[in-house]
Amino acid sequence: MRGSTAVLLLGWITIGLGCRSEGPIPLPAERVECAQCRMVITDPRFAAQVRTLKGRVLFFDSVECARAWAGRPEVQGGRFYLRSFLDPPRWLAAEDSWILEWQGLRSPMGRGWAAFASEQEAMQWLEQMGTGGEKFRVMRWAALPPPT
Amino acid sequence: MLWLATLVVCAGCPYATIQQALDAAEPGDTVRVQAGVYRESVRISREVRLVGEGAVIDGEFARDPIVIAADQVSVEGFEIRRSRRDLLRDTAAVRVVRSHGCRIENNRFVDNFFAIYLEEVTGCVVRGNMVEGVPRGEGMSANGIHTWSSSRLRIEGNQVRGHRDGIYLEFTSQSEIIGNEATENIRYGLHFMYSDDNRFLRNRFFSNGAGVAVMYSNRVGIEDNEFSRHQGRASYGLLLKEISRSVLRRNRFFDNSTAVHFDGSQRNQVAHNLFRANGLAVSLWASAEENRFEGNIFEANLFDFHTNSSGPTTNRLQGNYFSGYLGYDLDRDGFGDLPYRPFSYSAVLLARYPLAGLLAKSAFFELLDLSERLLPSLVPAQLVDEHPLMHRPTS
Repeated sequence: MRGSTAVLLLGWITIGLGCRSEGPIPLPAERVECAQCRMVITDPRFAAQVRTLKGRVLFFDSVECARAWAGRPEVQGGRFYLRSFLDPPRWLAAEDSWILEWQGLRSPMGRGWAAFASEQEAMQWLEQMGTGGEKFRVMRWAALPPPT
Repeated sequence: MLWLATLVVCAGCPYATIQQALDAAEPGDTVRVQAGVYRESVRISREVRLVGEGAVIDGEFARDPIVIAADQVSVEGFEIRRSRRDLLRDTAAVRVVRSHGCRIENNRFVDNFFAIYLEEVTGCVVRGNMVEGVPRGEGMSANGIHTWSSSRLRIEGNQVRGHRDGIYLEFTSQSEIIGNEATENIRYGLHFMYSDDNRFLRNRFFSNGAGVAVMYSNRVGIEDNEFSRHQGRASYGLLLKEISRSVLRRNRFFDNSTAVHFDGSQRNQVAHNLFRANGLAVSLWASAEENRFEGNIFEANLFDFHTNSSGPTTNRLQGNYFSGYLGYDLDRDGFGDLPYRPFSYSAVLLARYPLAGLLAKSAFFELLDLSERLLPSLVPAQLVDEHPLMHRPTS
């Protein structure tokens, strides 16, 4: 009897941990469509996700598409995460990340946006690449211009 | 008087490397490259014709085989393989930058990152190339023929397989994509975004991971193409995302999970297409408005139409042929006297509860469909073909 109680307890703990509705989840291995533009995600460096209050996760192929969903009622109170461009398995909380806009980035949606962990990281990388004279800027998530 | 010279490159020739010959060439000259494997990175900076005669340019995954940065350059008859893979710089086997009038013809591309990459280019012809990618892991494959911020291109008679997207046009306008074949590419056979006023004629797309996707573009002509065998989740024969005032005519759709999916796409004309043996022929999302379907053939699809909206619709059906139509034609005008509602109740159920697919075509579903036909309650009232064709037109 005591054994089964322990198993039950363990079960509840496992379920409880499994349902923890916080933090980003990894990109699924199977084909996943962007919730905004429906493009299949093939370049995870630009990917993003939002986790809603109910724990539902929507994936995006780009920061541009994630930005298009910010403020939509379906994801109200949800948290957005952006893939770290230089360290792709890592997700950055959108509001902590720095978004570089530079055409040389060739992002899936064409505005040239990608997320970095810090402004310094973005600038160092850009310096290393050389901008080729093209304009660039670094923005915070909240200041990203709305979709055109 | 212009003296146009021909410079020959081979192991024992005065020019042993392609670059040496190019550096010596005057504008208008021809450089002929004889058989052999050339391990170099070729930069073309003046108007020349570069002709391969059994020549292979091998990038050995470390170099960019050809970069073109001059007008009126042509590259033909080469095998170009193993270009450098640099995720950050979109490296390619042949990259054409800010120029006019290039011709890339009858080359063979093998195991490159991007194969042909046109960037801010006008009036180029890409014709008769065989482009074979070797599929690699996520993010490690690039597109076969890629154009960016270009116009007035002609992409014709190429075969592309094994790349991420077979052909990808971004910010590319007034171009013609004719008679190409894109198969077994990882993502899309053809993909274009923000590209207005293009025409796609007589291309064949089959067995690409997610089919063909055309997005955010206006006034596109898609005619006489074939879209087949695109199967699985998030896979469409043709995905139309925010496409407006475009024409889909005389295309053939076979064996796709969903043949055409309209999302945010408006005022398109869909006429005389053949939809055969697809899971779902046409999926219309609520944001798809004022699309007209006329003279199309729907035969042997599991479902012909589906929408995620049960409200009023502005999409119109007129004079299409449905193999499932059971009406009659007493006045013998060739059109059925009874309307046809191509939306079945089971398709609506299926869209809401994918697992219900287990019951598709079961007696239970037939009963549901029959009751919906008798007392329509779920399908949008206007999405009815009042007078469907009695006889299948020849396709």
